[in-house]
Amino acid sequence: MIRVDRKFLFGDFEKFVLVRTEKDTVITSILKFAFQNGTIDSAIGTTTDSSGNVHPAIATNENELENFSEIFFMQSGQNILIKKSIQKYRFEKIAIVGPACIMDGINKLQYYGIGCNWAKSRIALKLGILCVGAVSKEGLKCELLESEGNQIFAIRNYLTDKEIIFESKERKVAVNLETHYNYVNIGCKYCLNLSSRGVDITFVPLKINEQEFPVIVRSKRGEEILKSMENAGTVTLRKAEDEHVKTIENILSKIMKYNIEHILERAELKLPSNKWNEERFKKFYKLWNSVGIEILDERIL
Amino acid sequence: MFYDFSELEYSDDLKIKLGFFHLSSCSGCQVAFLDMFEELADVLDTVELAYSNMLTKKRQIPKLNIAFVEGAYCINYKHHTELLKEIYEKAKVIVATGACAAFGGIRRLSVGAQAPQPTHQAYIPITQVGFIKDKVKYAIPGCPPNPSLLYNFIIALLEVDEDFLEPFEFMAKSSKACGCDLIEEVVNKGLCAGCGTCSSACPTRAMEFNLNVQKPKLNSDICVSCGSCLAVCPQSFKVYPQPFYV
Repeated sequence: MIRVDRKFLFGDFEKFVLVRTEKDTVITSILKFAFQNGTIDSAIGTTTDSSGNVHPAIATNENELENFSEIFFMQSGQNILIKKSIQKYRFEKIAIVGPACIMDGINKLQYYGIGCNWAKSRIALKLGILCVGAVSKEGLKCELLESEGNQIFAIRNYLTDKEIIFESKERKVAVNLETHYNYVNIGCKYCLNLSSRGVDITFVPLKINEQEFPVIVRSKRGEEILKSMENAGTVTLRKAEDEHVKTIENILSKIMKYNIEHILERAELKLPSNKWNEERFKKFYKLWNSVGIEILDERIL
Repeated sequence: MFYDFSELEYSDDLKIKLGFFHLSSCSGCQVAFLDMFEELADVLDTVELAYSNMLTKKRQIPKLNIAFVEGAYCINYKHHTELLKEIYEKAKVIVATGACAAFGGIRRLSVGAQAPQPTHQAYIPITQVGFIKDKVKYAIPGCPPNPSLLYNFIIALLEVDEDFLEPFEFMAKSSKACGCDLIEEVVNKGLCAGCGTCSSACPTRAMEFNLNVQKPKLNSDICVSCGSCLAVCPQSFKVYPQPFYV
């Protein structure tokens, strides 16, 4: 029987570790290190402009990483820069940072070769972000207004066990997950890959201590980078305790259950799915309600 | 299946025979096939390019295992009808290669059936041509399709990788895919996650990306109906391979 268990939520991974950095964020530290040792020659992420818009951006050296946004759970469309960075700027070792939807697009580009010819060979590192649903700029404004009563200019955000904390220069605002979920993009409400499967490293924006965040290591490449960083003294690694994994599991299972409800409702209402996907939601509905099925088809996920 | 040992012409010739055919198109799909470079050499160890109007000197179409057909079918043009009839007779499987053959491509902009101007004539993709439809098993999107897609597709055909080939079967049945389809099938149905992959895949930059709402925006004037945007969209069909590097 299908259950929302750890396997379902996290997918396959090598290790679950806590990463402590000195001054940069975990993602910036990893990217900086990868720049320094030549693993990557560019990185695609997001940046926030003065009016609070989040845009996709390319960093061509480690100094430009300072401009990368620390706001998670916002839609940003990093993949629009893939072809440009490969064909126009001729980067050969590209790192990409983003949540599961971004990585699904990259994985599809690489696996099938549709759309961008060199995506298979020019992407050197995939840094996923565990996501509880992305909002638009307007959505973010509204959820902050609903929680705080007035607008703040958030410069970073992270998760705690029940809330998302938005930090501006002056203060912090806590938005509970239910409020955030109300404003989440509809497409995100059908996502079953919250923990970014199919990447090298999944960063979990759950604050454990100051400058310490969990990371899910999924590939040999990811493991090697983190080991080299530890050896170079850039980061301190320690094994994640069961309580940390449990906290992440609770957050994910909460959001996942909402998402599953939405999918089942969509199937029950017989709302259309798109062509070529062989009625993915209907299939999920059938599998979810069957006894004896243990693993969902990867294509449905 | 396209490979039948009992029908081999020579007992020692185990190579699979491919043919490339050209209807109404720019031949870019055959050029994309050549753009595979060293990967093409790998492919040619296993398969034989038995017929191509551009790449071989043969004028007679031999019996083929797979016929890759590029270009749209021109209605009322006898040569196309005869060629398709012959391909249907001699090939086991027909693959609609590229935008024109699969979804109409730039030929969707034609305006009627008035010779002699090509832009005035009427074209349909071969996936809509009834008398060959049962042999058109797969459609490959793109204008032109990426060489790496063609390589992956040929390898999947040889290895009978059904998981890989399945979406291309759906595409052959759908016969239409353009930027409007992406908007209709993904954005309008509330499935778009705003990743921007469609915008990156578009060969003409018709699929723009609205950064304010983080959703694709179509400039239909320059869309050539190649189907790349819909095919590459993570929501249209899904795979979750683990990190993959060359």
